[in-house]
Amino acid sequence: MDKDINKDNTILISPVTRIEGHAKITIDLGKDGEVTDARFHVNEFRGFEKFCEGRYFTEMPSITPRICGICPVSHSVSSAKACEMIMGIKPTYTGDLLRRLIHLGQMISSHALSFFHLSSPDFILGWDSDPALRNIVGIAQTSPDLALRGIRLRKFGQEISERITGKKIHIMGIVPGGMGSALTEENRKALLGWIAEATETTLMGIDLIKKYHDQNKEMVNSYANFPTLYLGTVGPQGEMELYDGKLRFIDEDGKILQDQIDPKNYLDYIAERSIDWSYLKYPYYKPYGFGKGFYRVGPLARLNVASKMKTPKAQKEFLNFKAINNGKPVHGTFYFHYTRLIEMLSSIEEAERILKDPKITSEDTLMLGKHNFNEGIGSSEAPRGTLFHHYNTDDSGKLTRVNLLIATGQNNPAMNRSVFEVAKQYVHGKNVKEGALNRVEAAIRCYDPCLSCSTHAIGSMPILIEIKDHLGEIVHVLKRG
Amino acid sequence: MSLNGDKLQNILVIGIGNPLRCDDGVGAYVAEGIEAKGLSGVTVWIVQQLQVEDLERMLEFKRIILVDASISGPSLDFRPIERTAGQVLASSHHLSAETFMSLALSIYHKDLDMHLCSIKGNCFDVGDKLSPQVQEKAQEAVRLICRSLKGDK
Repeated sequence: MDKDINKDNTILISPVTRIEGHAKITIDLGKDGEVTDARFHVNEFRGFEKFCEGRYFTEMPSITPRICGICPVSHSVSSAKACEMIMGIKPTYTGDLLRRLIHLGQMISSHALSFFHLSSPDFILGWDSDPALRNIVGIAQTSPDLALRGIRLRKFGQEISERITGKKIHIMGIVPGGMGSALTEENRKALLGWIAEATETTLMGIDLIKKYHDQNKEMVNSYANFPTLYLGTVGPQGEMELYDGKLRFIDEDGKILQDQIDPKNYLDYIAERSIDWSYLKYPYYKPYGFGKGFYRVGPLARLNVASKMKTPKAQKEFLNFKAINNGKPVHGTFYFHYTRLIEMLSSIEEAERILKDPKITSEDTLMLGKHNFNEGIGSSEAPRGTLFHHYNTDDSGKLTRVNLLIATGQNNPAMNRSVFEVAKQYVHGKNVKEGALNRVEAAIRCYDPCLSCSTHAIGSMPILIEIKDHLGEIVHVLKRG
Repeated sequence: MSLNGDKLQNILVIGIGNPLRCDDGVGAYVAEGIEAKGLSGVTVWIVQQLQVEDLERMLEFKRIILVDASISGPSLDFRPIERTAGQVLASSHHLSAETFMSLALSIYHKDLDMHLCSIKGNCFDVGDKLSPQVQEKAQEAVRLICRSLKGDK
């Protein structure tokens, strides 16, 4: 990060790095130089919802993965589910199983990159270390084994998609009714061959983050620690579910506000409001209204709302997570990293179980159907949180309205609050050190936001951090790159 | 530039870009052109971004030629890539060639031999056609790369 103070005594940081997309952070100082407000502005705009109107609904599982190269599977799965509601069909057993498997692969690859490559430089190299080396190359130089393992873990996740569909990103095999391709026995065995290494690497990551927690208790527990509501998908017994389930909202004390809500009814519980300083909307829990109804989604939310995990190793770690706040929700934003790793462990275990299902290599992957209804809603848990696709069609099947409610959008109010909390803690006056601003950036990285997804972004617009004095004048600019 | 002496073994050509964004698809266009020549020992990939998990497979090749659209610089350029200490692109969407070289050296102790063929694009709007000038340069790039692969000057 380059620090630059111009003639107007302005501070600029550009770009905020190691997030997916570009945005701007502004930090307002009072007369005493202390932080009075901070905002996370997203400048990107794409308009996917609008230009999909007029397309035939069955094209959507192929179009929407293009929204994002990191979570294309979640878009495709949610889209296919919405189309299945329009057609009035369900996928075949094997088709559903293959979709689950690809979805888990995406969770592994996305979480592996977020933890090992985007966030671990802060823990391993230090918040105040040389920013030129505080990245994956720095990790490769200081901890080559860890970097290699992180790369290979991501590779495993991508390989699941590749071995089923032939493509590792922007996959095309997920279709209404199931899957357009099957898994061969050779590919099944090859994927099973990864399980031991993937498990070992994830457990190493868990060990790493827990040691960091132990050595930095005060920082971890005070870092953007504030109560919110949480939303996640759960199974019938309240178990954490990533692919298909019902919605659960809990309040800041862990009380279940809504449970086993069919995702088709999401609009009864979630509303959105536009704000004038960002292209990212402010969603909220409708019964509590704007402001009081802000909630979080994603790994921290999913583990906060869940009663248990589905797999043994993840369940063991889940109990350790739950013990952090004596069974109550954990509000510390830094714990996103820990929960991300627990989810990755769970995903590897579940992938192994699916790969051992005798029907996984069946060629009965697809149920055919046609246009029967004019509305479809599908949801899944993307790596960053709950994702909804909602389509309306005319009688010919052409889309008349598309609504995509994206995880990063739902975390937007919380990301703003996190930036504010961390800025208050580390920014004092306009002469801010780079390391302090890195901590502000890292609050955003905890959410692993994908701004391309959430705004359906176009173009390349950098993120800045500006610090303003009590008169609204920009008094400090830090610039990177 | 010549890749003399390699006897067409273990060369990887990677066309990078999005063919649905006009001239951004020039990398794929050139890669397809080279693939159509059927040169022995030459493997061709077409990707939208370079991703970190591609690194292991790239290590299998003696030489890697990246073909990509550029937004500035000469209309056609073909040169070795230098490993630099410049900004590292650390995104899960994309890694730069320089970052790949640094990672390969740190993790695998291998100095990748990478070359870049860049073609300056004029139009990056939605569309699957190259602009006429870029198409002309792309054909020139195919000839240039093939000549170097065969050891011609």
